Amino acid sequence: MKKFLIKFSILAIVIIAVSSVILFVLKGNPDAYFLAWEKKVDAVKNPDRDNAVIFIGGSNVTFGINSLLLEDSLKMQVINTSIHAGIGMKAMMDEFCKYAKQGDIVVLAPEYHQPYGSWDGEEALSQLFFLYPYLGKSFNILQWKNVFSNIPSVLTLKKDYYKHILLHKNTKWSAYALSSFNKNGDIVAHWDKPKTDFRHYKPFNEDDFSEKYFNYLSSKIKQTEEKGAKVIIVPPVIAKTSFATLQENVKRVEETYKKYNLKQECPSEVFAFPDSLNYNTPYHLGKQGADKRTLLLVPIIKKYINK
Amino acid sequence: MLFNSFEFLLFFPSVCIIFYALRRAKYQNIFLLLASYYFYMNWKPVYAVLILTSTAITYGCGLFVEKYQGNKRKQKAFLVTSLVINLAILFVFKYFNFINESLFNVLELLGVRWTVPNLDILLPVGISFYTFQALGYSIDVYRGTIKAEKNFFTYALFVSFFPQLVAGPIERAKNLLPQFHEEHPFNYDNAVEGCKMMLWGYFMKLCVADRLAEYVDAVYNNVAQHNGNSLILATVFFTFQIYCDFGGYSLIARGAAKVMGFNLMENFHRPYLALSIKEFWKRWHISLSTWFMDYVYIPLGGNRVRYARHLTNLMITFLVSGIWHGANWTFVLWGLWHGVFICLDNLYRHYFGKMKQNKPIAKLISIAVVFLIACFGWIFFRANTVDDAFNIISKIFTEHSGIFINNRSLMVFSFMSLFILIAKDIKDEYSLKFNFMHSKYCIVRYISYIALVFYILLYGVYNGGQFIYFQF
Repeated sequence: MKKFLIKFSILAIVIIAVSSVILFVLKGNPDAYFLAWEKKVDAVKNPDRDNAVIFIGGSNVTFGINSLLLEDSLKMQVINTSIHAGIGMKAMMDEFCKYAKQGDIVVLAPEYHQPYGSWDGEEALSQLFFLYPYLGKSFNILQWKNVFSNIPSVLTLKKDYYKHILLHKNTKWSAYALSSFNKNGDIVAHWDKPKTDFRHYKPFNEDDFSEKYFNYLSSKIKQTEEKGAKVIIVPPVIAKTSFATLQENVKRVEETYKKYNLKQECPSEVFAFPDSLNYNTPYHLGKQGADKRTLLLVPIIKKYINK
Repeated sequence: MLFNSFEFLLFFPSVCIIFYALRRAKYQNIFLLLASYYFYMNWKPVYAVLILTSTAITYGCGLFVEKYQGNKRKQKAFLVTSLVINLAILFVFKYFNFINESLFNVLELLGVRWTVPNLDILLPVGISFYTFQALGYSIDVYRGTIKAEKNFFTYALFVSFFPQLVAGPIERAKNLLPQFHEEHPFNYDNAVEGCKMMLWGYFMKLCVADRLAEYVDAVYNNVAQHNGNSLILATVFFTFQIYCDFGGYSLIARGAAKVMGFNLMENFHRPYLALSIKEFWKRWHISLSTWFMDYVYIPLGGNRVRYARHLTNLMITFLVSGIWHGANWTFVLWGLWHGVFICLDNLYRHYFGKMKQNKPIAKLISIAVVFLIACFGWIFFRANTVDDAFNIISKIFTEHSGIFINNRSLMVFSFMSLFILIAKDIKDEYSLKFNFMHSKYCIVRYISYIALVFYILLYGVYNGGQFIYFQF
């Protein structure tokens, strides 16, 4: 057995070493979507910033608000920290809530699938971790599992980038790039692009539902509010067709919010928009949709300013 | 738990370490039994009750059958009890809704109202595999081929041994049960061979099957939107997808068992290099084909009956094989398709003798013909409905224009992986002297392992989900 273990370990070490070089040393795409994380963290972390409305959520927020319009309406700075739902609410809240301060309004807009297995991260968390390994400090075991199980996807992403460089081919334009964000952290580069076809969601598997997520939300909100910030929960924006399919899931999410004394600021259907307002997924809005949602958010957030 | 999941990557080495640390067969078996139930209960814990029921019934009946040796009537009664209960469970979970719907449709045509509702239950993973394995044991004990297993835990492990629990190979008690009575000290050669099998199995599943599935699903799930050329390509892709999905699973299963010192039977032996359809069935899903041969075809009389009856036996066996695969008329047609060609093959041999295939060109033509027959059969197997299958066949012969390409680079990866697979199968079949993972040079072997690991990491598909055969 010793001989086998030695040989197996040699192979494993070579494979891990080569993978680590690819993951940590080889430079990736300088316009990578997930590089926006750093900017968003800097914006929230800035000790000199004014009180702000800080949005935390997945890409339903990234592609779903017009923060400049919101700033104008609220006369308050807006920071959109969202990037991708697959990062998981836990990693997002662990990072951004710690910089919330007295007078801030933290707006949580978690996607419906967060309690169905996404809240501790998916592939996106792995991609983010290999760009910002410091995040690992606050990971739980499930987040580590998700990071490691998605290593092949991160390797593939690097491979695709180098293939692109070697072949000198222009890839198709994509909204998923660092350069697609505006100064507040919204994706706006797709606003002048035509809507693309997308598939609607099928109901999520109820077996994946975890109340631990609500428990986590509850304690994190309490912690943040102890610092003097106000935390509110708003429903995510979603295309009407998907909303109809997810009825049972949505109902369960709403009921569990109530069970944990978490208040959703308005009924979920308020943010179920006609499919025509979506850009490329049931959670992503185009310009018209983003403006509509922003205007619906104004009165909800206004209630808490200077309270 | 899926073989291609992160959980399995942690589960399997942990099981091996504890397994070898236990040393004595008695403890190793109990530990493997617990590990196997844990493995299975990862899907839906409640379904473990079904395996346990099947295990308890076949175990008990086996003991009684042996106890009443010399009393054929009582022995038969216990065998029938075992068969009926196991097949009833299989029927309820797998075939009830299918038969209910079929009855509804037939009776509706006759103007009769059939109001029995469908059952709202999920098909337990691998039910057909472990049920057939347990039934094989019951029949073998009845026939006296093997002695009934006295130790319940050993028998329970035989039914639930995790490497082959959910998608085979469907093992015979004669081969597997004695292995649970032996000590399994660590064996270097077994461990290395097992790891190589697993590595190649992962390549087949992640790089070939799941990669090809992207194209196949895009075309077969939207038949109306695709022309004949795209459907031909999708069918050829599916031909390799199903081989690599199931063959890959079987290889991982055999490899995992081998690492722990158990030998499971070979399930796929380069089926697309068969020279006749009869040979194809000796190379494809061998454990199931031989199961049907031993427990259906031979009890029906096999070839020791009138020739017409012999052909009927063949057709019945393939029809049952089709139904085994799934509760859908598409599988029935697939079984019949192969049954017809097996009969034609048999008729040819009966009247003209064995075909001469010595020359390479004759071999090549035979391989191509068998491949085409298999490909065509897969249309029924993969199509979502019978209507879809006939629509596909009609389009293949009538509509021809440009081929649908969903993603150019994915197509390149698909062909690249297919090339590697076919090259290896040809090399193994004709014993060509290019050895990579089995080279006598250590450096060549190591480079091959590392290259294959990185190929799998970089070109594999990691959201491909379940293995196709799990649904059976």
